[in-house]
Amino acid sequence: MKKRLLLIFGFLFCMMGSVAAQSKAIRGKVTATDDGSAMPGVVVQVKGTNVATQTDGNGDYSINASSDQTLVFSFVGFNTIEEAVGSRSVINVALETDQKLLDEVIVTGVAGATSRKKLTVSVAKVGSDKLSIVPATSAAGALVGKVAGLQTSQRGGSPGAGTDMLLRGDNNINGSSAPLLLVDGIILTGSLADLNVDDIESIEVVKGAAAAALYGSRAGNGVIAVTTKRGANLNLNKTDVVVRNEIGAQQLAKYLETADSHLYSLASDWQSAQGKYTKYAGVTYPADYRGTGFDPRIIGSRSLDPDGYMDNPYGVYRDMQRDFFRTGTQLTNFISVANRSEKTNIYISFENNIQQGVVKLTDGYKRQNFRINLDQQIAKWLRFSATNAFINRTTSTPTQSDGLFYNIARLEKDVDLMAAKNPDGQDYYLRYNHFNEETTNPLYELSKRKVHNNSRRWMANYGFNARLTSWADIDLTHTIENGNISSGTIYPQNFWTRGGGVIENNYMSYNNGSISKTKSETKTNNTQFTLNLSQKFGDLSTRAKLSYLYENRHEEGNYTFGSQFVVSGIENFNNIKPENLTGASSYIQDERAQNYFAILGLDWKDKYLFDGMFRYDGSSLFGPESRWNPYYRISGAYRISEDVSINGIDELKIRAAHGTAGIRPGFNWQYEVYSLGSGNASASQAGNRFLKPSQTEETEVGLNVEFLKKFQFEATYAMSTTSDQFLNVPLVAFLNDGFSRQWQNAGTVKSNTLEFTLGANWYKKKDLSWNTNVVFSKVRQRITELPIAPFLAADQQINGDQDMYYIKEGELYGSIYGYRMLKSMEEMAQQLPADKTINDYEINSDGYVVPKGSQGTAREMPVKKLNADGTPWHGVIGNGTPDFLMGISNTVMWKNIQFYLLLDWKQGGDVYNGKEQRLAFNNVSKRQDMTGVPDNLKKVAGYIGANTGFYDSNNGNAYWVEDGTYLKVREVALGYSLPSQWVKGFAKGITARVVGRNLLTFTKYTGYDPEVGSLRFPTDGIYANPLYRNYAFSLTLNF
Amino acid sequence: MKRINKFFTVLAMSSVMLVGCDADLLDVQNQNQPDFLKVYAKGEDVANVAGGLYRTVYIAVNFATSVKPMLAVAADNVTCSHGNFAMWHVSSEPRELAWDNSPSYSNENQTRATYERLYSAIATANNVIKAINSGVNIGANGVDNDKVLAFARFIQGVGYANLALIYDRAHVVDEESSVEGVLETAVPYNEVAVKALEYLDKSIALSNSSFTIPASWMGAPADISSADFKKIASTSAASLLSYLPRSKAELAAVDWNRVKSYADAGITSDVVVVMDGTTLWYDEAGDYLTYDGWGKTDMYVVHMMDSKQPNHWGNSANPGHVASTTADDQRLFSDFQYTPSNGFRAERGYFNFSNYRHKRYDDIYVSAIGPKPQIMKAENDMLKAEARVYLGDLTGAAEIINAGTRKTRGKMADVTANKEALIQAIHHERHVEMYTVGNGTQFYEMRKLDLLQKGTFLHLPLPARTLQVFGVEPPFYTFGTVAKADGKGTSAGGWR
Repeated sequence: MKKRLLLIFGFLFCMMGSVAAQSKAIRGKVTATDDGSAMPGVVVQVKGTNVATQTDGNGDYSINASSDQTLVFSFVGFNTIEEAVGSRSVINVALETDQKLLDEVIVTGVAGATSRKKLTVSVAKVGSDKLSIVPATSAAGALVGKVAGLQTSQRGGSPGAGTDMLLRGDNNINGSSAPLLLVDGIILTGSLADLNVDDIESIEVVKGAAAAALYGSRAGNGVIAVTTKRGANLNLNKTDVVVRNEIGAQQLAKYLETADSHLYSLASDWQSAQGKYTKYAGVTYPADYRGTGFDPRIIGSRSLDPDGYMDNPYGVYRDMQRDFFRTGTQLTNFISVANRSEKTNIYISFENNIQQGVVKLTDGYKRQNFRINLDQQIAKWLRFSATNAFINRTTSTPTQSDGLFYNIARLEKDVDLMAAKNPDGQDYYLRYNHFNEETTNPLYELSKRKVHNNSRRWMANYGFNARLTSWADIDLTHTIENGNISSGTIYPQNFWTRGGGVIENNYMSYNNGSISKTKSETKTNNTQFTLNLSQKFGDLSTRAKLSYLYENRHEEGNYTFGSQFVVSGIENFNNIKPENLTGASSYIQDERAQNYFAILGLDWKDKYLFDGMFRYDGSSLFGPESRWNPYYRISGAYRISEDVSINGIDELKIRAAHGTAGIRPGFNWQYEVYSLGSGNASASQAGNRFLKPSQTEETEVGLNVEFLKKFQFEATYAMSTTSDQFLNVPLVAFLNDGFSRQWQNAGTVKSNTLEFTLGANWYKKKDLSWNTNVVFSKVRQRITELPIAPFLAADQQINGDQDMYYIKEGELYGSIYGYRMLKSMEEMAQQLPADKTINDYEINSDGYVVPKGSQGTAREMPVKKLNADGTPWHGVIGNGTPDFLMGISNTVMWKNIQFYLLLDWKQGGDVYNGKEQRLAFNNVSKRQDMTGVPDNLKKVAGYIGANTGFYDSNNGNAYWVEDGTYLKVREVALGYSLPSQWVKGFAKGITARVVGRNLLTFTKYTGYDPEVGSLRFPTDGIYANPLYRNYAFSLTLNF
Repeated sequence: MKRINKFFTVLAMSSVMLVGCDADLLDVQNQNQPDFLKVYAKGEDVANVAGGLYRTVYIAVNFATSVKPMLAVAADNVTCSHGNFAMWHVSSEPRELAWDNSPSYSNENQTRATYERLYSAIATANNVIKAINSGVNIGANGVDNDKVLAFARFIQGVGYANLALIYDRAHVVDEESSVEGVLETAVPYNEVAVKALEYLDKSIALSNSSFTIPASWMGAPADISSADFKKIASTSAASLLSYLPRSKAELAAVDWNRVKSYADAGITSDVVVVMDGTTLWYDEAGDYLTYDGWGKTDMYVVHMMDSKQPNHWGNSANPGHVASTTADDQRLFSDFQYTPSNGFRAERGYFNFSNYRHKRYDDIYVSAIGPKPQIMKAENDMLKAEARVYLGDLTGAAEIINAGTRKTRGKMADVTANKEALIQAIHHERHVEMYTVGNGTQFYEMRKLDLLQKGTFLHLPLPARTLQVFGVEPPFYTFGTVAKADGKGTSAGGWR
């Protein structure tokens, strides 16, 4: 097959011939007006004929035309010029850039740079104007609310945390649905989370498999391509210096409301201890009790108030959420220097980013970005380009598994985590609650452990472009992404633990400490060779690419753990006895791929557009029997407005595309695996030599309209089918030589997406302009085929501890499963116990069926819906998929003042409030708080918090499903640019801006934030961290 | 700059295409985890695989994610109000909560982890035996074949023994026989036990050869001779027979002669596992069952040691159960610690409350490093005594008990040669001396004497997610709740 491909490539090479000539010879040079540089590849056509040519590497052309004819000079991103030939034999022209057009040029996934008007597939572009007005702290969050069909969810507010991005549907049953990320042509294995926004020129978002087909087996989830700034965009012999400083604050937008009361009996003289601690009935406290935490001298236990209501006050009130979460500082210092000369252009930048985060006792996030982008014209026909980015990152933020935001919120209101000391005087007394010893003081661990997490990443792209003829050039590029991550945790020798101690130490002892270190290194080296062809045959413009891409990724890592430091104060592995060096592991992964592709773009008279491509991918991740896989796309568009003139319609285009793309399996999915640990091998995974990439086939149709010189509208409807899903099929281990799992290709997910984008330039005058951009999308997806028994989706406990998401044939993706409590007497009548009648039940004040006469008593418990056979009903109780997503941005400029506002609206889509469910289990949920509740409406704590109540043994239960609709003030900015005359002689411009991110959220959701969990698993669990609110002041100086 | 030759530059750039000519380029090996061919390539490899099997069985019944925490609290040996590891669910009083055998239950993994790990060990043991039977020699001329075979048979034996003790049924497959992967091919626990004993018998027979089991195979402090290994297999067989009955009726049918002969050939000193700090050998369940602030000692056990203490906390927070000053069993002072207050949540039931906790292993659990018995000599002593009780040799039974930990550690009065007293004395040692040692001993003890509280499951159903794999439609069968107390799958008796 490989040989056959090479033959096809060779044949295509031969097909690309030059055009024949005619009568009078005309020659000339095409340059750019802004800097006078030569422009290769400009199409020169004799108007109204098929005769055309292109300028060569020096911008020179020659063409035959008669004196009465006209030459048309056109190039993407430049205004087209027409020149009558007349008597001239030399015609030199200078083309002027059309800035608006330049913003509309798409380069990702197409045969060559293509103006948006001539695009046959869905690619959105976000330019630096939209990115820089409220610069996101990293590229990961920069696109939120700006692109139709892009859903984002921020996993947690921790500084540096990634953003889940999803283009159109979530097509995968297993594995990531994150799009392929490209930065300056570098295929990222890491995330965008550490990329600074100030360096970004534009981001192109290639939605759907059809548009992304050019990226084959990596692009089933679409592509996001980031282009960084270069000196090439400057005028000739100009230098541009930008200095931007931003200082701001991060804070929690809200605190969780929890119960202000408890259900324990108070001592009759409880007020004697008021202000110090809560004095419970039946408990004897030592006279010198310090008022908080475990004391071995306390005699007696808490008892329940007989009424069962949570309406008893604490003896003292503290607010650990407010005391512990801080307003963190956030700082950005950015400087860039760019220069352009005739043969060389360069862009150098540095950014320092510090985000303290809202959690005390942690250092937060620190990052430095360095960049050098360089282009050098070596010879007239040969250009060299280099892109280099180095990112250094240090984080010391609480991990998700700390569950800190829940662990602080779940505290009883009289708890003080900070006041009491440990027996040796260390801060943050470990045993913080005498009467609830399920957990220890989360601040103690946070304060004592030394966590480091350092990452260094280098990304580079080195490329040569050689122009062979006016219609052919080749690109050779080599990209590198090297990453080193080093992390570790040290617990010092004097780290307290419960147990093993004597009464003097409150039965605590030192655990003698431990140290763990993890290091990993990834190296990705990709080499690509591309032949670019471009030729005009009369009215037919053709562009083509033939390309070969070789990918080579290497990753390795190791982990070491030891405990029991011998000498105090020294915290390394040398200080640990060999028998206590008890954890060690390492791994190596290599991944290689070869990909061939060809793409052809045809354009007839600027109105009939056709695109066709074929790609053939071989990857070491595919099983040996399925090593090579083909991908293709055909797409076309018709610009109706070129043929038909309709009043008020400036541009009208219809388009359709059909194509395929895939997702590659994980590294070890194809192999038979015996898992190894400390030299022990045990069977775990059966191999699959036939494992292949999953396949997404997509058809999209679209409409683009520009009207009344003010509005741009785009609508797209896409239907995709993803088959050959990766299923980690459970096997009956003892019948399969001990193997309990095997990766198999099976199952199908279908999704339908509707997207709209509307741009409006309401008003545009020199001193006042106002434009609005609205993006809208609606996605529905269903598992249409699953050849194995339904199963709970893997890895669904991303931030909580409930299992609720099933992979099941016919099911809408994102469906939440669980139990349901009855709310109607009709349903109750269907499932009456044998010894009861319907008259034994009633609807209570909350609208739930309960035993008659039980309201306000311990007997008041909801009734679980049952199946006909008496077993509990278990089914769909919600769905996380939103009805629609909408982003609305407005930019208003008045003289030197700019105002920008981005609203982000998610309509519908449920959130499972698993955090509140757990709060109820701990009897601290606000829903259980009966203080001030009229007697006839009071409920006992167990009505919600008991296993038989709504807590329901922590199972998924409809009671905890909430509407996740929200409207967010996502980004807002107010800026003022100093009038140029004020700064003349000092700077080109100075702009001051006040910006805010996630400032306000309008929602009925009761948890921290409805933007939580992942797009696949919209759970707000006990480990979920809320988003932060940011506001900042930014000053940009341009020299 | 020198003029660059366009032709050669382009040629050089094009040469990158040549890299694609290497046919093997995309064949990448998994360097991290071996496959069957690597694991079973030669005798030494097979021996290595066998050497890791006991650890798999050990964690199957000693990790916190296993049935061990549940069985300890369901047996009223330990008490804990925390929801973790399903402890609170299975010990709620009255026993109104059935074992939630649904795939989405947050503690479903407690039964599945044990089940899957036991089968992982069994399936690998089957492969080891297959490899040797098909001609792989271990050591020069197969000198170590018997050692590895004896060990693999032992794994089959204790693997199926645990399945028979814990679950209502299991599928029996070995190196020769297999079954279809459906629920219907599972056989009841008593048939599983018969097969387990066959394997243990084979292991015992093979252990007549002379060999040495490396210490690392069993996490032991020292290498184990074949003679000592044989004793471990014998004790395992005796305990299976003794612990299997689901009721007094089944207890009456136990072949006590067989128990006696196994136990008499059983261990003569503790089988110890040296815990290594949470890496390979860690009785994690034992940690949570005794860790300060977690598991406490059920009043049922406190009462055994000091009859002045109640056997149940009662229905109030502060009924005035003060510290014992004298006790029938002195271990109340050496192994247990008085706690004047409860850190358990009152709203989860006063039945959880206790005034004592177990402190015997506190020192090793500070860092989970150090030796902890996995099978005590005392356990084998009790099996020897128990067999004698039911065979009518009451004097012999009393002699064994009075020579054991009842006296040496508990300083208790001699037990008389009275059947009921002897059964109570054995019951006492299993609850007090074998506290958190091994898995489920106290649960099996309560079960066969009809002492598990009414509504407690007598055994567990096959795990929900396993039933899914078998293609069974939910909802899945289960055991437990007072309403379903039939004495077969759910306790109809109870000590209170």
